[in-house]
Amino acid sequence: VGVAALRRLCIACPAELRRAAAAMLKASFRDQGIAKVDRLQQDASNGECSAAEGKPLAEARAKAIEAANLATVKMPADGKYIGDWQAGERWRRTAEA
Amino acid sequence: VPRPLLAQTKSAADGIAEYRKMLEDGNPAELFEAKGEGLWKQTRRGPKNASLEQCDLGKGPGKVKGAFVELPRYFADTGRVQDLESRLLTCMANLQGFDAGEIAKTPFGRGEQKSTWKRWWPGSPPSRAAMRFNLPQGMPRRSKMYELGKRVFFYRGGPYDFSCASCHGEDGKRIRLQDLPNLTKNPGDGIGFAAWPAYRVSNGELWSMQLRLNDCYRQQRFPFPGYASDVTIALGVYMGVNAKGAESIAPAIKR
Repeated sequence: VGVAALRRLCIACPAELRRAAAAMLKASFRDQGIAKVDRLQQDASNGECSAAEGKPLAEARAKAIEAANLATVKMPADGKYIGDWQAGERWRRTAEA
Repeated sequence: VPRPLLAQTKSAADGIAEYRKMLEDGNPAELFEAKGEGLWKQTRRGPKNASLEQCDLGKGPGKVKGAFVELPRYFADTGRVQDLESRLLTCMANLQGFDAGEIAKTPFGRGEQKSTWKRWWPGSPPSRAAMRFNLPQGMPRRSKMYELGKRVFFYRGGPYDFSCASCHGEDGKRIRLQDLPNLTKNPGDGIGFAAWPAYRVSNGELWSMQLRLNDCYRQQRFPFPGYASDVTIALGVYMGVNAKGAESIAPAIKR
């Protein structure tokens, strides 16, 4: 039995849904300004959280994902948490244009 | 006897509800409805100089009553599940000779695109009798679209890891003063899917479901969802099926 025939037999199987959802996302979105389609690419954490579809992950898994992502957060090296808002505004307006 | 200051206990949501109540008799969306009815019936439109009156919205050519609350649904002639706006594009192309692809690419509110999403009159119940969502389900293609809509709804991405579910996956959430419906279930009559299209007081425009979804994705910092693209239609199926039995109050009035 060929792959195409299997797909016809099983259009709501998890593997087919994964394939169809990926194809659908790819076909439906386009770049707009700074928001490029590469924003749809998920890292492992987002993939796992999406697949849970609102149900809680096993506690150990959830803690591991949280820890892995917190480890990537870079705090300001100089300890200043509020920067130059005017520079921020200029950046925002440029990004928007 | 001095009366206590009850006003302080009134929530923002109460205030908005009161405001909506006051506007109910004069919802400006009625102007868009009248415009939509005109566009629907206008006999000489598009390259084919035809009206939209024979458009099949799922109940047969020209049968519009109750069609809206059964959309999105599968259409055999296009081989696609389509929402109202996607279907209107099909009718505009087939009956009037417009280029549906071009219209879909036109930014919201411009040119023929502007009349497309305001041409929502067919869904408007002429009698104002209660219309409850009842999307046809059960056929494999449609239930697949529901499953895909669910996947899209929970799909986290973008620079802030948002999904639709970030805002609409639980009860009792807000953005500033706006209550956010939980769209993973039926949120009730006239709430969520059952509240659109709606007149937006904040910008004086009628917003269709396509525009609502488009702006949600903008707020999620996602790339641009194509007008009437399958992602938007799958989300419509997911929300519409979940809203089974909810009364549509379209055109509603919103902040």
